[in-house]
Amino acid sequence: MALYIALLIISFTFYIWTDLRRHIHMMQLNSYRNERFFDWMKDQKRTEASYVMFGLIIANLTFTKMLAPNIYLLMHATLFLVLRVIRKKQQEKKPLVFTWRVRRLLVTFTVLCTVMFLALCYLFRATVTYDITFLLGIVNLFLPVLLLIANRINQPFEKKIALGFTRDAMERLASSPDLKIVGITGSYGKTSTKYILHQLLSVKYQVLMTPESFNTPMGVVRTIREKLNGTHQIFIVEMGAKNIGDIKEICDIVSPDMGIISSIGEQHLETFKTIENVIETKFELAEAVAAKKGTMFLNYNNEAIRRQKISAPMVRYGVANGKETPQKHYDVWAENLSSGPHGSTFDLCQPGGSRMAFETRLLGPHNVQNILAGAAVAMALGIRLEQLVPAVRRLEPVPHRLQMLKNKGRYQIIDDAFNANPEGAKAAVETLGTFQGFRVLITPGMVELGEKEESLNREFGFQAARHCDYIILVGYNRAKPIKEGALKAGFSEDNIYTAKDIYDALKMADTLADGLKPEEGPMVVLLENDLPDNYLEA
Amino acid sequence: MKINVGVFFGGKSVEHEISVISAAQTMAAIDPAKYQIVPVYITKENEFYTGEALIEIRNFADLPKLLEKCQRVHLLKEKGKTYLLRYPAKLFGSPVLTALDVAFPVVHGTNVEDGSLQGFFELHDLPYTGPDVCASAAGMDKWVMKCVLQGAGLPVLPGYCFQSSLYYVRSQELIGKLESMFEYPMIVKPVNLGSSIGISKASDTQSLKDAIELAAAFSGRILIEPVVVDLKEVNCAVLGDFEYTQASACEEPIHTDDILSYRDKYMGGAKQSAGQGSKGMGSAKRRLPAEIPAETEEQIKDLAQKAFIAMNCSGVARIDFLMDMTDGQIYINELNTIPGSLSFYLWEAAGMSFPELTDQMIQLALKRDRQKKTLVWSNETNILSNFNDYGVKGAKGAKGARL
Repeated sequence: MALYIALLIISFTFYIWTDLRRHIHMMQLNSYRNERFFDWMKDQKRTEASYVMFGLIIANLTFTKMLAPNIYLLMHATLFLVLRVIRKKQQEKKPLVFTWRVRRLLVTFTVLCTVMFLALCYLFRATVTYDITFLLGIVNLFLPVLLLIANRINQPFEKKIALGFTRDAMERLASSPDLKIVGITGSYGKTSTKYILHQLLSVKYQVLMTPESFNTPMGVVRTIREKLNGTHQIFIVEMGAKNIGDIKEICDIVSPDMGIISSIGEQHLETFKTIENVIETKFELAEAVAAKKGTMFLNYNNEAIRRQKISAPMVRYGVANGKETPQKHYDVWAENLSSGPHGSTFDLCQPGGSRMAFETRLLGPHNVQNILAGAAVAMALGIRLEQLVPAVRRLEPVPHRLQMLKNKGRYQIIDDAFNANPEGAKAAVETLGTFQGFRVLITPGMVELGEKEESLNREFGFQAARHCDYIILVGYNRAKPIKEGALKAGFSEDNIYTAKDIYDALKMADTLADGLKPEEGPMVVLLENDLPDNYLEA
Repeated sequence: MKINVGVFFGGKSVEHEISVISAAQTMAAIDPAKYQIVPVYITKENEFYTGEALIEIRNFADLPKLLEKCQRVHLLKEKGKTYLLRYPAKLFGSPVLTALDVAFPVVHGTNVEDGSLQGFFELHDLPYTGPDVCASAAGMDKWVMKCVLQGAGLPVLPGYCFQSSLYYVRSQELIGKLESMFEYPMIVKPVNLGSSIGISKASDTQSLKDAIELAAAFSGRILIEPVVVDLKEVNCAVLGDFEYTQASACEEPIHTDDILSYRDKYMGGAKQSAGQGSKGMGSAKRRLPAEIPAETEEQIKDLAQKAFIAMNCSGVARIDFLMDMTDGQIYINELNTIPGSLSFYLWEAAGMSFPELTDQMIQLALKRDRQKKTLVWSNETNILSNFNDYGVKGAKGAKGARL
């Protein structure tokens, strides 16, 4: 009989594995924050698990006593096996990474399930044979909750590990006293600015930067421990934030010598709640830099940034709009800006009449602001302006940020999949508008904008209408305001298609390309914002 | 945090011992405050060893005993870093000995200076000092070097290169051709060896045959050049890379035989005290600075830098010139992409200390590596793998796996 119980347990584990894996993946994507996981969890309907539970209850109450125990167990083992096999395989965009933390979580989860299981057996005086299936059904149904508890149990231990790593990282930084540390933050543009700064500073220095999506305290710690070595002279730290204190946390670890704030806008409003909180958090960088008597580099095109007063010495950069006297407002500014499908040209000006012409292949006029930031820091670190001209010329686009993909297919693709803020989206469609031919926008809409999500998406639709010829929306619900906005601007409903998911959207793009007449021109597609798996509409 | 510098020396080359000397001198010169020196010795069987004992040249007197005190290692690139691993691996614990940030090859001769070792570093993504694979290979082959310099419009002696096996098959025809091309005396060189090994002069048909047979023992290809009878030899070193060069002081090597021999280069030197042994190129006899008029010196320094750039060298190279005293013509004789003792004595004469020289070489290595990489990381969104059908090269395509 023990054999049959073992078979049942194995079969059950096999069955819940895909579900468990998906939940752990969501936990990972939510940075192991229980509040965020809970927010996702409560929107999930555990339909399949409920049906299974229901079926097991019926089985238990009706014909169980008629069968021999072993047959009963075998029958249920087979049932779980079948359920697993017929389950649909889900496509994952960013797969689960089996880190040590995940493994620890799995161990705790298993122990927790076993304990709970045994406790239930004892409490209900369950007969191991007949009632075991019923109890397995409970584990299956409450799997998300159990995972949440397991995560909570592991938290103190994980915190201790994280602290040890952080201390190690700070020691390594201390052992390189000549290392210059530049912090970059902003609601948007920080990754682009980081890449640009890295390429410009590499003209003269060995530069280390935090990689994509490593803009959290643990990400920075990991970069230091895994990548920092004696050759590095400059360390660029991108600092991301969703709550007040997030930037300060990173600054406490790295102690930046200089800082760039690329912009302040409406992003992550779900967690920040108000724009004032965003401003306060971003300027935590300015406080840290001021403590080290360093310089802040601020985007003075941004109104929220302009209004803040800081104690640290600052370099103000921005694009002059021709109406004001630039020297009064900026320390480094751009004039004669011209943007189009081939990039931008501008003059970089400084007080005293200094002026130098620059050219870049990067798309989008807002990238010129990012270049100004990079150039200003580079000059402060001793690189001459003339050396920057070829470097700016050679700038490559950051992957998935208004990145032109070189393809031999039927249409040109501008990949802006990683952008998700209103300013960036506006700039992206405006850039699309400068292209000749048949212009298509594919977007699921913007997220994490809290209460304003609907109105901002509607405004996006309104703007998009003027710059493209066809709109493909991904997902019915979130993208609806975009459609409303576009229609309000007079866009024809015939030229809007709502796709189920991104694969469906791309198929539609193909269909459009097939039906394109030669005089309608080359087709260009803008992929605006691609959402990670935890945003998929169920 | 110090920079970990792997100093690689030795190798399966006829100049193995010279390299040991050059490396010992280099390791003594590298600034220990800024750099962590990790000596890596390559035996003649191409086995790699590391250990503190390798820094002291005296220990090389008894090689087997020295190797017993050392740890055999191999290189491994893992997650963006290059490591020296113990071989064989220990039963428990990590096999990692240390990470290397930059390699400093101090090697001479075929199998090491000809791009082999450089290619090895390239495959491990390890930045290294000195010339890259192409410059190393070109610099090691006297004929290729001659063609490149000639193509760049720089003055070289005429020459003729042939397969040594051809000599054995058609020796009459070959000798006849050579005698019609050049006048005696001629100089016969194996195309890809250094330190004057296998080189001899020929003053008549018989000595020509002897010289060719000697060279053929060392190399499959042989270069013949006419001899500049009334000559002055001048050497000049250059430090830099493709966009910046700097010339050292010029020297006149003095030779005891007809040509500057192995003996002259490494075993001469009036100032050798007992037990000190050879000081590598440092102990060769020379006139430093060279006794030449100032404008000739300028001309030579200028030609040296032009040759350096034509061959796309990096780090320190020493360019050897021949001056025909009858008409004042200056010819480039050869270019040493990793010169003996790194020509430190030429740099000291120009006012640059050996430690500073090594520091500049390491910075140049890091600069070259930095220019190779533009983006550090890249991350792909999976959805674009769908575009495979339409010609866009999926996740590993145009913008994908860039370094």
